[in-house]
Amino acid sequence: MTLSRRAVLLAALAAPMAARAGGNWAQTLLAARGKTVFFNAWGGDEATNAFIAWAGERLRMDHGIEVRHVRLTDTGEAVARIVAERAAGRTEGGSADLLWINGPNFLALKQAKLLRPGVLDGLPNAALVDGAKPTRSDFTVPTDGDEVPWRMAKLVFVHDSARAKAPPRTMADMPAWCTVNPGRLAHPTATNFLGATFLKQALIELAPDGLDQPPTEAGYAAAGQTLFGWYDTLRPNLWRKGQDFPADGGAATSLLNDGEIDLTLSFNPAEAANGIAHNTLPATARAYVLEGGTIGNCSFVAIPYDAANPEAALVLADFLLSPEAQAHAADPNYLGSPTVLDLAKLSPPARQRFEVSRLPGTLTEAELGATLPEPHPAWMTRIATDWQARVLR
Amino acid sequence: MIATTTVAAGLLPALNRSAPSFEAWSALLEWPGLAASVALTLRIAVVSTAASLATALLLTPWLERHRRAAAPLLLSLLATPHAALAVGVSALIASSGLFTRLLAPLAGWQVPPDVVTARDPLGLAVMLALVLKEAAFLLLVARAALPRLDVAGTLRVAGSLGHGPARAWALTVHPQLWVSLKLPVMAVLAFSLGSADVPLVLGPLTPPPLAVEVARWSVDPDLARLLPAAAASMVLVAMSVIGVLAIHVAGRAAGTAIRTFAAAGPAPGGNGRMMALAVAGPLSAIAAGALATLPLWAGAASWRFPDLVPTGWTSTLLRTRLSGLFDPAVATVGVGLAATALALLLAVVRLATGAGASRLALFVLLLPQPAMLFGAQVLLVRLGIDGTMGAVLMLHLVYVLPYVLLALAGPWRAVDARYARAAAALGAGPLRTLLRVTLPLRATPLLAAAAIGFSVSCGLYLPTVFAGGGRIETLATRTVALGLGADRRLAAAAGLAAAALPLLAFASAWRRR
Repeated sequence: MTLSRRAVLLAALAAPMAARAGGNWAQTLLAARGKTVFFNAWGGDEATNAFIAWAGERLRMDHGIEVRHVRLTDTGEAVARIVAERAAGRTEGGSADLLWINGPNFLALKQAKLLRPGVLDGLPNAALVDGAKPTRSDFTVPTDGDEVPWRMAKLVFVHDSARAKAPPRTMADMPAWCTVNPGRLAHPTATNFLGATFLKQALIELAPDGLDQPPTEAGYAAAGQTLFGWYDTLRPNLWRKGQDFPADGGAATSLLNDGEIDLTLSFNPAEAANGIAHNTLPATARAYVLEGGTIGNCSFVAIPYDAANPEAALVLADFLLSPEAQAHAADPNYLGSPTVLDLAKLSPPARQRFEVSRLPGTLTEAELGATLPEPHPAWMTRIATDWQARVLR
Repeated sequence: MIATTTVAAGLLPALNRSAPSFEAWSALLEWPGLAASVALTLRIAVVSTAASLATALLLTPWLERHRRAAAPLLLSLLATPHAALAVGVSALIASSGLFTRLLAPLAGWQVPPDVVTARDPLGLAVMLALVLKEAAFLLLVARAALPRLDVAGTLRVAGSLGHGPARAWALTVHPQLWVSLKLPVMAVLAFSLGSADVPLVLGPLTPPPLAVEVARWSVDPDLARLLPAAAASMVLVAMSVIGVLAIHVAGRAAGTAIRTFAAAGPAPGGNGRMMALAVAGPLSAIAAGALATLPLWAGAASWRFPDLVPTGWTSTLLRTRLSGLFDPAVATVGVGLAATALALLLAVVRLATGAGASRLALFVLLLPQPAMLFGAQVLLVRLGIDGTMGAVLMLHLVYVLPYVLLALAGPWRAVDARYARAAAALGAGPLRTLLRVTLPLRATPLLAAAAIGFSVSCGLYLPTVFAGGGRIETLATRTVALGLGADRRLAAAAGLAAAALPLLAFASAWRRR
């Protein structure tokens, strides 16, 4: 009873908003037709690239919009370009229309006011977003609707269960496991976001205080000492004795596939299922999370201030939020990313799209465990710098 | 260069830095990887240049005997982009590569051994790939130069004086050959100093060579990183200048040493064939293996350690892999053809007016790539044309033109100038003479120069990255991005496509001879 009343209330509130958005939205769709969206997105994951290609195909059919995926090796490239365009005084006709960003890159652009503000609230599908998930804050920084959530990410560890039968269940256990299994764990370089997340996960477990704020000097000194003390015991027994590191998550997964390592990490909970399905991981690959949970965050897209085709970018962002695209992304045959939508807000047929077959290696919602919030972005920057200072010598 | 220098002096108006300062240099000095990176860069450049030259000199007697057979072998190595060759080499020597798989049954390895092969801290894997490419380049230069020397006559005289064949080559032919090789060797050194694609696939990354770090800093979201990038570019320039001078001095010293040596009297000795075979055998096996492994990996359904052959082939997956390469392939062909056509036009105009290869164009080859590209990028951004096809074409032209000029200058002069004069005497205008006499007489070198120009463009990595701002992808940039560690089957598919285009260009130029 209360539930239905709440639904009615919500509908009553939402209806005029949707109508208002609807009026503008029709104009947006009209303006977007025939345009090309330059979607600047990290291109290091083939499953994601295929998903973006699929979304582009759908947009061409439904809205006559061309999607061009600009495959970035590092999102910083696009951020640098947007900053350069501002420095050159450009106010329109910018090179990027839609940008997949997170954390420090978002903070940099938001602080410099280089993003279109409040884009989320103009999208018809925004009403379906799950507010209980971290869809309105990016690495603890409130998005103010400047970013549109499109997929959930959660740190998982991926191991070859045929060889690593009892992988470590806490960060504190990692050094001991590596002593017994030297050279069998690899994490990407900490200059890569996934490698930095490995260190942040350790930070959360080993020195959890004050992480939701930028670090104070004293706070960082203490936490850094704990973290790198732990790391110094781990590093000699990492792959290549901790002298070399995979460039990114894809490189680490390849090492696991090649049998060079038995354990690594991923930001995609469906990494194992997806890898088995695409033959990029052996059939014995499995994912698991640590006791006490792992870091999770939300992936966002945003529109730069000088986007050449902002309307088409809005339509793409809204499509990424649609139940159709979200269900496609959640299917481990394609991506396996948990949805950013609240399934309770969906119509029964839309909800049904999410009931996909379970593949070997898929984790259930329960197995995924607790999701821990990201530390403030300033922590990541400092940890990555300190890690470099230790490793590059 | 001027733009690079001003940023290195701390001037970056976009960041409100309008007074000269040492900020760029102090930022570079603060980078913890600096010492290791400089040492690595230097080691890679010196060793691969010296080894390429030594290999080329050692193989010149073989080259002289097998002039015709050598050409397709060397040209296909030259045509293969660095990135594609690096991916192939990695598939052979990585710890899960083909070599350890061959050893696995003997050594009883169930999983790849935790030995450092590719991405070794010394940079040996990078040197290997560079030597394969650069030795082939030097041998092709030698192949063009040898007919102009009276090799047979010289060797006969040296032999009659009592020198053994290997000594005769070293004492009499090589010094003459050095005149033609000196500039190319200097270019090899500058290229190795500024190479980023091979180290990204095969080199250590903690820290990487300086060129990789310059490229990384240049695209960093933090614009202040442009300062150390400019300073590091200047370090590369300094290394190149010192290296070029060192090569000059070393060439003279070697000349003196050879004269003293020759004056000391003749000595018999072997013909050096065993030693040449000992070097050429493994090198050509690696080159052939690296190229052959690309189609195997590209078509493999799955190929895990320690299997020697893939477990199954895939046509659907291969189709998907290749269809994802369509856009970069179109960009590669478009930029390659346009840059080659423009370069040929400029080169013909220059040579037809009687000038030689321009010094400025050659200067480009003696400058490590990031040094010039960094400044060019600053200018492109200011002009607002960075990230456009036009910008990529411009920077490609800068690198294609010198090679086209070098390839064309010699054969151009080799054609008797009296043909043109005779045509003029018969009343043909300058344009008619050019189109009906001068160019048709040089059809073969023109085609060869076009193939070289196209293959240079296909292989360019850093110029594409800097001008394209990450927005324009060619097969070379895609190969490096995937070669960084993505699934080997994807990297191989990209490498295969990247190598196929220039190889096709050479094959068609070769057939039309």
